[in-house]
Order: sequence, then structure tokens, then C-alpha cells
Amino acid sequence: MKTGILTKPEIQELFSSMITKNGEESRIFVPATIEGRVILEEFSPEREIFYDFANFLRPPKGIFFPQREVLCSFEQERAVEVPPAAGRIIIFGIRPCDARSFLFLDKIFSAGSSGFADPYYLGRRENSVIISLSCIEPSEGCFCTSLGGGPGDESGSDIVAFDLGDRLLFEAHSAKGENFIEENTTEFRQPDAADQNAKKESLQAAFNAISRISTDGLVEKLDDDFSDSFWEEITATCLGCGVCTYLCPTCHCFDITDEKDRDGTGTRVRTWDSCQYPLFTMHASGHNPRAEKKQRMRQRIMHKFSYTPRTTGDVFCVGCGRCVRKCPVNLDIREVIRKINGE
Amino acid sequence: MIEVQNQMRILASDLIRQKRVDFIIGYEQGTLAHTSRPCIIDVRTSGPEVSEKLVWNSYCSNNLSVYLQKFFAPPVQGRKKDAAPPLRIGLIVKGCDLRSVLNLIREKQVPRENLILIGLPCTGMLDKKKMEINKDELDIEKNIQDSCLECRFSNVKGVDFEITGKTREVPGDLYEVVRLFEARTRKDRLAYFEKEISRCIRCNACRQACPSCYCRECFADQKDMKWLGSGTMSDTMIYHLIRIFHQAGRCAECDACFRACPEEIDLRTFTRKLAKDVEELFGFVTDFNRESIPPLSTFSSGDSDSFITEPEEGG
Repeated sequence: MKTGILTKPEIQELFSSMITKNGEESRIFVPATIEGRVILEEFSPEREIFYDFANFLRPPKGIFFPQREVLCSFEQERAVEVPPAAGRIIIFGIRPCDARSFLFLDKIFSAGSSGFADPYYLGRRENSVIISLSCIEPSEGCFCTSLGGGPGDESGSDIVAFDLGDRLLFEAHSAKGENFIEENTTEFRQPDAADQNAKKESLQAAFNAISRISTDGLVEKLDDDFSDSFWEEITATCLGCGVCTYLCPTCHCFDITDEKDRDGTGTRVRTWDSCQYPLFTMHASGHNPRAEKKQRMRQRIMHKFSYTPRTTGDVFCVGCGRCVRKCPVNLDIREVIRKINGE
Repeated sequence: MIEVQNQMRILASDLIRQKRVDFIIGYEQGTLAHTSRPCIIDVRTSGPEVSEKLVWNSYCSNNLSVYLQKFFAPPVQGRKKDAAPPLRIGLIVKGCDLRSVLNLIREKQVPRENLILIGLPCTGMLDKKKMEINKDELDIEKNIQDSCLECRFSNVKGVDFEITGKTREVPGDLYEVVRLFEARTRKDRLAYFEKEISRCIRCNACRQACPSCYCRECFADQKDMKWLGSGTMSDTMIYHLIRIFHQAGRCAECDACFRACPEEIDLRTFTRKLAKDVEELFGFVTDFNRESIPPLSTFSSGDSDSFITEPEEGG
């Protein structure tokens, strides 16, 4: 495994030099603050990388799978495809839970599970380097360690960076990551024993702060015919908004609509959709198979914890805790799982 | 507060014992720190001891009246003759919740006779975000939600049961935030609106959390006659403009929309501006008067039309 140390100012310099390098343009996304909000923002040399945060409000999925994307434009009978944006994408500073979510999205948008490869998602994703930043202070509501993740988990990351205060320890976990360190090897210094110790300590503290749920045998438990009353009970206070799904790093459902002007020109647009909206399953006839919120919440839980484990082998939840923290009525997915467990 | 909580629990258990309610809607302990959350208890299947679940503290922000309308909404096929009688709901209310309930009653969405309103004294709810920022701040006033700082209705009126206690003093300036907003140029105000709205992810949380947003089919969701496109900035602005304008003379300024918004978009300034306009132009306030007619439900030839201006004017 290739490793390297950079100080924080050196990282700033490295990225500044990478926006255009050897004739190749890169879009680099880094943690930054705008008016007190920490967001994943496109890097420019003037933008200072921000390290003191727990996680971003929004998941990073929008970089590869934008909330709104024009797929093609048309004029009467003629359609013009809008090609996916080209160029390299470097994402720095997302947490390991979010990096892990890319592995799941890859399965959905590549030919593997569906038989259809999505050129828009893959066009961006394949030309990307993911450098995640280990978790130092997990938030209340985080539960990644129950789902195979962890504060320094490498799944989905080409490189995991560990924040050691004034400097970062980089560890490559893929060929892309190795190349990245190789290409910039003059910049990196080799970690020593003190660096490794600092890394271990920060990870342990973070690990201890993360809440846990049990997902053992959950697929089978969900197979049991859960009475309507169970779902009704847990969704009694649900408002029916889309916060949990839009802030979820693994939720990937979308809608495609044609927006036509009077003159016959228009665009075909893909937008995020949410299983929590009644329109999600509304039929043209007016019939809605999931007319009630208990059915919609059941879909959300079943999709993540029953259907995707069967179709892709993975639980589609990374335990980032966004839905836990941001639900306006504190409908806590950890609690739902515990109830399903009979705890 | 603990005394109010005790009294509330006793009252709730009495109501259950006397079989005067079918449901009680109140607050329970949440799963996160500094969090209370709504709970809807079906007391037909539980004993009076269930009232021990109810809590009352400075985190009971949610406007519970948002859950009322669905209990009384007519079924899609129309109400059957032999249908069960409408349910009786016991509802815990603060001043803002109560004013939302009264709005629902005025607009004939909820029958007053099926409600048992339990009014609690409110000293203002705490804002988790402010608490995070003011980490070492022990001054509670600094962590009170903005909506509570400008509230003049913390003393409930016209409820079935009132638990008395300390409430908030009526503030001197009710519209401080709006006045600052009004002082800006039109261009500036539009820029501010655009800047705030640009963070919207169209999760609909503002609409869903609002007790006044009860349309069976929101204009934003209509497909046959589509008003909104797929989420350009212009679509998002239309969504918010219409949502906000539909609140004229109806909004109880409880800030449920603002609290629900994951992006913390300042929806408050805009609804508050509307409240001020309605008060100044039409003399209407969403207060505790059940009989008043909201301005959107009536008209008079003497109504103010000073808000109709030429687009270029006043820039």
C-alpha cells in the first residue's frame, strides 16, 4: 500500500496545481464553508479547504448523479443527445460512509445488476478519484459501523486521508489511488511511527462515538408478513416529505420527463424522485398502489434492507445518519430497524 | 416546566379514563439530544398509563395541528351513511399550534366539537442550531427560536383545558426582521430571495410540515395541467412564491416550514413579511378569534390595493 504525508498548506498547493495539469482539466471538490455552512464545493486556489466539520448536509451523489440533468433536447422529430460532461473529477474530503455509497450507486448505474450501463453516471464516475477523509468526530445519529463501514473505512475510496492535526496521512486503496500518489510523489513525505499512532488514536475515539444497530437476519425478518399496523405505527407522525430520501447518499430513484415548449422544441430531463411522494407510483389511471405513507415508508425500508441485499448483495444504507438528524419529526431509521428486530 | 408536564399527564390520563378522546396528540422524548417529537397515541387501545409517555419541555417545537386534518378529511368516495362517527382528538397546543387549529376550524377542515384542546403555557422553544453555535452560552434567551422571540400569543385562549404557568412577555418590536428586509431595495430583496431559494432541494418539507398546506392535491404536484417543471431555479421560485402567498392571513408564524427545511432556508422572513402586510393592509391577525374571516376568504370594495404597483416602480 502506497502512503504519504502532506501538510494542510501542501494539500492546498497540490490541488491548485492540479486544476490544469499536463493539458488535462480536473474538477476538484473539497470541503469549504459558505456563510457558516460546510459544503462540498468546487475547488479554486482562493478557496480554503475546511477540515473542522462532521459531515456535509448533502450527500455527494449529486456530483455523479445530479438532481436535475438534461439527457437530450428535441425539435419536432429530431432529437439531439446531450453528451455527459467530460473531464476528470477529484473528490476530496467526503467521509468514508459517503465514499462507500459510491460502490452501491455503481452497482445500480453499471450493467451489473440491471443489464443497463448508464452513460451519464458512468461518464463522470469512471474518470474520478475519491479521496475520503477519516472521521474524527462522528455526529449524533451516525451508525456506519453497524453496516460494514467505519471512521477509517476504505471501501469506495481510492485514497483514505487521515487528519492528524496539521498534516494528513494518505493511504492508497486502489490502482487509481496508487497512481495519484505516484504522480505526485515528490510532494509526499513518508509517514513515521508517530503518524501511524496518531491515526490509530483518532480512529478509536471516533469508533467509540458511533451508535450501533443490529442488522443480523434483517432480510429474513423483513420477509415475515409485517402487518399493516406495524408500518402504520412507525409512520404515524411522518409528514411525507422527501428529506430522508433526498439527503440519502444511496437513494437513487429518478424520474424522466419531457419538457416541451409550444414551438415543439424541448428537453428530456432526469430528476431525482422520492418513494415518499405519492406521485412516485401514481398510475395514469389515477390508481395509486402506494397511496398511503405507511406503504411508502415500507418501500423505503424494504428497498434498502431487503430488495437490494437480494439484487446486489448490499444493504443500501451506509449509516451516515443524515435522515436521522434531519427528519423534521425525528423518525429515526435506527429505531425502525430495532423495532423490526423486536428489540 | 416539569410541573406543567405533570399536570398535562394527569389531565391526559383523566381524559383517557373518562373515554372522552380516541387519540391524544402530544410530544414524546426523541432519539437525539435536545429533541422532543410528535406522538400520536391511539388511546382506544391503551390504558391511562400511556400518558406517562407525554413530555413537555423546551424542545416541543413541532406544530402538532398538522396531523389534525387527515382525521377529518372526507374519503375520496365520499362519506358513507353508516360510517363510524368522526374521531375525538385530544391535542396539546401552544399559542402557535392553537392559532393553526383555529385557522383549520375557520376554513372548515376540522370540526371544533371533535377536539379537546389542552393549552400549555409557552416560554419559547429552543433552537438547536443556535445552541450549537452558542456552545458555551447559558443565556437561554440567546437560544430561543426567532419565531418565539417575535411571538405575542404565548398565552392560549379558548381551549378546553388550560394549564397555566409562565409565558413569554409580548415583545416591543413584532416585526424587527421584516423591517430590516423592507428597508432593502427591491433588487436587493429579490437577490436575497433568490440566494436563499437557490439552496432548495424541493424535498417539500416546508409544505408537508405546514398545517395550513392541506390541499389534497398541491398545485406543485398536478400533472394534468402541469404548473411546475422539473426543478429549474425558475420552477423552484414559483413553488416558493405560491406556497408563501397561499399563507397570506393564514400563517400562524409557527416556523414549522423553517424548522423542517434541511437547508435552513430563511422562509421566515417572507411569511413574516406577508403577516405584516396583512395586518397593516387588512387589519387581520391570525389570533385566537375563531369567528374572524380571513382576508383571503372575503373582500370589500374598500380593500387596500396599494400593493399593486408597476413592475418598474420602487426599485
